[in-house]
This record gives sequence, structure tokens and C-alpha cells, in this order.
Amino acid sequence: MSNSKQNEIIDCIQNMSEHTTLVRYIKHIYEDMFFDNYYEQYKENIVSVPEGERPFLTVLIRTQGKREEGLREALLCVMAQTFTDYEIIIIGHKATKECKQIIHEILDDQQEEFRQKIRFVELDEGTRTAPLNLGFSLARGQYISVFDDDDILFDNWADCFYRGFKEHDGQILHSYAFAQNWQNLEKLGYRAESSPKANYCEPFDLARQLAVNKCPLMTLAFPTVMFQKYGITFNETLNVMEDWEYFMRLAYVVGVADIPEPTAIYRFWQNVENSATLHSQEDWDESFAEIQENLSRFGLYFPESYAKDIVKNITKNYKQDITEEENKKSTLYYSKGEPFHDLMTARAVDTGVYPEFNYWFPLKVRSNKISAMRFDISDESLFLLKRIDIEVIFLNGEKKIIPFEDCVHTGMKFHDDILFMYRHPEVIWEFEDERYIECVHISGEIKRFIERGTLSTKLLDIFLAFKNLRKKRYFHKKGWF
Amino acid sequence: MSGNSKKIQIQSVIYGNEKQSLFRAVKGLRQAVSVYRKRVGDIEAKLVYGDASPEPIFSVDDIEQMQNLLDGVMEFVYKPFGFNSGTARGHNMMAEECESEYMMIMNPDILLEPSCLIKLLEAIEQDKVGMVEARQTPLEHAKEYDKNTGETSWASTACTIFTKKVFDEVQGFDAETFFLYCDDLDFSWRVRMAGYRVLYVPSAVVYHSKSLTVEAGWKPTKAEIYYSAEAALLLAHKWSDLDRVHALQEIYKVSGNEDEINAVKEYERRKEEGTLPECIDEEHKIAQFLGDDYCEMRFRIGAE
Repeated sequence: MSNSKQNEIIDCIQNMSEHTTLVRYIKHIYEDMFFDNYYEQYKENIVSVPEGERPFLTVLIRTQGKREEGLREALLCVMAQTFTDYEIIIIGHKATKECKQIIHEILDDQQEEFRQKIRFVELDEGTRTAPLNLGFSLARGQYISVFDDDDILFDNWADCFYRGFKEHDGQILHSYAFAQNWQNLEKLGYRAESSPKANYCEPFDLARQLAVNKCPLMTLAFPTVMFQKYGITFNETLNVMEDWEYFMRLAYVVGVADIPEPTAIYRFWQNVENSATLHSQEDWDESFAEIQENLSRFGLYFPESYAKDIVKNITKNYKQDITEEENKKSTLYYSKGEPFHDLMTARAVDTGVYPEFNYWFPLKVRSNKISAMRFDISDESLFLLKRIDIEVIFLNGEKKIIPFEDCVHTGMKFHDDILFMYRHPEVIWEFEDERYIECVHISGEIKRFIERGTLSTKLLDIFLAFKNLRKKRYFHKKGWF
Repeated sequence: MSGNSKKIQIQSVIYGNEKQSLFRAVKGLRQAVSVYRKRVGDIEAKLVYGDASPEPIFSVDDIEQMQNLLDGVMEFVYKPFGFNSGTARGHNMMAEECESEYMMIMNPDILLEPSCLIKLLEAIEQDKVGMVEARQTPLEHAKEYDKNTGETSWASTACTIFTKKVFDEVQGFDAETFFLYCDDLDFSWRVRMAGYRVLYVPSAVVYHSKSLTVEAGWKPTKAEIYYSAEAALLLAHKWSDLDRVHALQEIYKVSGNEDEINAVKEYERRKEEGTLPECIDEEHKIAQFLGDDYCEMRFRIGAE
């Protein structure tokens, strides 16, 4: 933004009342967020770096030197980055003499060119938040990302941030990560225990993020200037979730830009010490309460299009009860020769108890010209239809049973039952009767059990696809599809 | 520093790779050899690149640059094959002139963690061990292994070390049968058939660039689909699981996938010509075919 435009905005705000939301918001940020308590302590570390000498990214690694394999792997992941305009700061936090020696050994093993990018700093005091403040104050990069010594990066990580920066300079950059379970084997080393799951592959959502942290630290790159020039620092009273609180406070001020690419794997350790095991539930509860308190001190600016999303969410919650009831309903279509459509339907609630079902469909159109009917058993597939009884009840009280052999369906015969593998399980029958219909009674029994993914079901899938195709062609000819 | 100098030949088949990524991998290798010397003892190392690309990747200047880069640390040999050898044949050709006691095979884009060589060589020196494999990051292979010993069914040639003695004993890779995939599986199983153990070494870490979609799934290319289908058929045939061969033929035929259908045609062509490999391990003591897996798996990428 040009300087004259910025001045214009400042002039505009100056003329507004201090009670207005806008002025209060800006005042809060300026007075309560900028230059906070810890800034004084760290500001002397901050050095001015000439523009041409500034790397794009500072990679901040916290380590205690207890996880040799982890630190080695972490450095390997950084070295593998396709984008190389970065520096690395390793903070050895409260490392014992032996651990410091291990860290030095690991650093000595690195290629000289890569080693030149690394600064190793020792810090023997403070909570686990202190290395963050120290690292942020020492950073020379335009952006800084924290990558601890027990996680994994894909080689697009730094590049992804750089591309994000080109589009969204000044905002926090947010990429995606997978979660994966790991073990540390006593004799051999690290071992993955599950496939990577896309737990952290979602766009940043400010409202949801207030309740739960869905952005692991290494998925984020923070503009260094907000720490070094505006004094927004980490809260060192927090022992856990310190990253979440800082991220949110900064998000209030600069916003978050998504770069929807997976760049990292967040390891869930099954048998080793980590922040989850080191701290008590009380620690977590206290920190959670403090974070909620801190974040509630400020007003919130919701980015564009948020209003629509909020309304959608509220409406969704409101409708949830109704939807649950809806799920128990099924549909009967009836036709006078035309293709089935939504206007010619009857809805009914299942009064049966699984595995049995029981529906009474009252027909809205009382007609003696119905030529076909279709019963949609369920919205889901993968079940066996073990039994079905279809009974048409006429206005005069008489009944007509539709034998199942006269029906066509989208399933296939499987021993004595009918197997439905695909969506839209349907049973269709032709109908001809002079009498006026009152309702249709359908009852029966199903069984859900098919396990997918085995070789035999794969073969079955292919086979069924062909069978189904034949049936669909028949239905299509009749104009029912 | 111990007085006994070891000798290792490291080899990669390259095919249309970017020079930049090759130089980067070589720098990692150079560092791993230097760290081995610094921490363990002397080692004579030779890097051989077999170039299977239609046109050689390296110019005379590139070769000189590579030699300068490795000067004093390891010898560099560049062998343009002049034809697409595939991996199995390429490695056999490079092994012909190998005079080292150890051979290391790695994908050309693998980046070694500096202490990796120390850990792999330490593992292969254990009793009756014929082949060892490093752990790949960012995506670890899911095959099962013994949590105490690291013993496993097979080792991927993404990054593996075996002895030249073992290589000769099993007569190298089966280049007549395998072009791109499963040559390492077949090789590992023959190493085990010869009475050696295959070890997985999780603490020896190498970076092998891979990515997943946001749904945590794979995106196989056309060539990957064809060659892996072809190799799957041939591997099952060679290791005497004809039921699996038939099942795969049926699946591929009706899959609607052109590459899988072509793989079946190729298998049938070989059958008619009588060029299929001889069936071995008829009692299924070594090879395992568990569904689509070749050993027990701890998890499946994208399947959970």
C-alpha cells in the first residue's frame, strides 16, 4: 500500500470516535499486544540485517540433544529442501554436557556448505517457550518457522512458504501436515506404526482454531517483523500450547494465508517422552484456560466470507435434530409411466429395529393408474437384503402381495440373499391394478457386514460392476433411470 | 581408527535425472564417506553411475566437475550404456568390474544422512547378514521387521548394501525377468534362499523425495502402473504362486486400465515364447504373497 493511502486511512481513523469498533480494535492491538512483557528481555538480541543479506526463512529447531536420531533426521529433512534460501538456528535447551557433545558431533558431521547455515545457541534456563523467544529474536530471515527435532518434512516445505510469501507477504503462512504414529525402538531406532493421516490437511478456520489447535508449528511460517519490530512475543508463563497462543494472537493482527499443500509429518510418539506425557492434565487445563482468557481480551476481525460460513454453521446445528430424524426415513417412488421423480414419492419412517425394517408409505396421489414403483431401501450400500415383503393396500381394504421374484433391483444374488454393493440400493417392480391404492407396506430384514479391500472383494467389485451395468441398461430402457 | 581399509562400490542407474539433484546426492555421499573415515576408519569408495538415458546426461565437463567434487574422497566412474537397461541389467553391468568387498545400491536421488554409512556397514558385518537396508524418510516403507534384530523379508534397492560375495553367489539381479520393479524383492529372496539374513536398519536414515496427495494417497504414473503390473506377474510366476498369477491376470484384464491389460499381454507373450523364468521355491519357504503384499505390512499408505 502506498504511503499516501496509509496516511489517508490514518486521517480517517483519527476523526472517528474512540468508542467505535474500529478504533477500539486498533487501540487494543497497539496497547495490549504490541511490545509485550517479554520484548524488553529479548530486544537486545535483535540485529538489523541489510536487505540483500537477509535469508527468506529462519528454521528454528529446539532440541535438548536427547533425541540423536531425531535431530539427525530433522537436519537431513532441512538439507533436502528444494528451496535453499534459509538459515538454521538450533537452540540447545537445558542440554546436559553429554547431550551438548552429541549435538556438536551431529553438527560436525554435516556438509560444510550446510553447516555454514547453522547457528547453535545454548540456553540453560526458562520454560520450553524461552527458546522460541530467543530464536525469534536472533532470526535474520524475513519469515521464521519452528521445526522441532522429532518431526519430518517433505522437500517442498521451504519452497511452499516462499511461494506463499510471494502472494501473501506479511501474513502468517499455513501449509498442511499429516499425522503418523511412531515408536522409538530401544535397540534399533525410530519406527512408523501407522500410515500418514490427513489430520492437518484443512484450510485455516479462525473460529474453529479458537477451540482447538489444528496447525502444528512446522506448518506455519511467521513474519519475523512482528516479533522484532512490533514486539509480539511468546508467553513464557505457558508450559504447553505456547505455540497455539502465539499463533492466534498474531493471526488476529496479520491474518493467515493457506498454501494447501502437505509439507510435513507430525509424529505422534507412542512410547517416548513428549510434551503430552511430560505435563499433567492440570498443566494442560490451566494453560487452556489462560489461553482462552488471553484470546478473549481482544476483539476479532473475521476475514472475508466468514459471515456466510458462520450462518451456515449455525443453521446446520439448528437442523441437526431434524436431519437425524430424516436419516431414518426412506422413499417410495411411484410412476404412471413417466420416469420416477421427486414429486411422485411417499416418505415413511422406519418403525423396525435393525436388522429388521418396517415402512408404511401413504400415497399422496390416490390413483388407479400406477404402473411402476421403486423402493429405496437405504442411502447407504454394502448390505445383504435377507428378506423383503411388499404389500400394496387398496382403498377398499384389499391387499396385493408383490412377489420379490417379480422385482428388479440394483443388487445381486448372493446365496439366498441379495447383496447391495453400490450407492442407491433400489428395488423396482411393475404394477397393474384397477383398484385405488391407499398405501404400501414394506418390511424385511437386512445385514450389514461386507469387509472391503481384500482380493476377493476386489474381484467381486469388478464382477458386480458388469452385472449392475446390465440391470441398469434394462431400467434405462424402461425409462426409470 | 582401525588399520583395515574397507572397499565399497556404490552404484546407481540414472535415467534422465536432473544434474542438480545428482550433484546434491553425491555431496551427501561424499560427506557420508568422510564421516565414516573420521569416526570409524579408512574406506576406499568408488561411485559408478550407469546412464541408461537415450542421450548421456553428463558432458565431459560434468564428469570432470564430478571428479573434482569427489577428489580425494572417492573415485568416480561414468558409464553411459547407450540403451535403456532397466535397473536389474544396469546394476549387473556395473557390478562386472567391481573389485570391492561391499556393494551399495542407491536410487540416484537419495540423500544420505551423514552417519548412515557407518550404521549400514556396522549392520552388514554381523554374522550371516547378506544384505542391509536404510530407513527412508519422509515416507518410511511399511514392511514388517523384527523389532529386536531388524530381520526382514526383503530390502529395497532405494538404499542397500550387500557383500560382493553374496552378489556373486546368487548371480546378481535377474535381468532376464525384471526390468524396473521387483528386481530387489527377487534378489533379496534369493539372498535369503542362499542362507543369509536381510536386515532393516532404522537408525540409518536416507531422504527419498516423495509426496502424498492431501487425502494421504499415492498418485502412480502410467509407467509405474505398467511396470509394476508386469513385475507382479513375473515375480509370482518365478516364485511358484500360479494362483496369484491367474488372479492378477483376471483382475488386470477386467480393470479397464490399458497399462495393466498390456502387462497381461506381455506375460502371455513370454509364456508363448517360452521365455518365462523357471519356477523356484516351490514349497514357499522364502517368498510370501499376502494379498497384494510381499511380506507382512505394518500399515498401508492411504488405506487407513
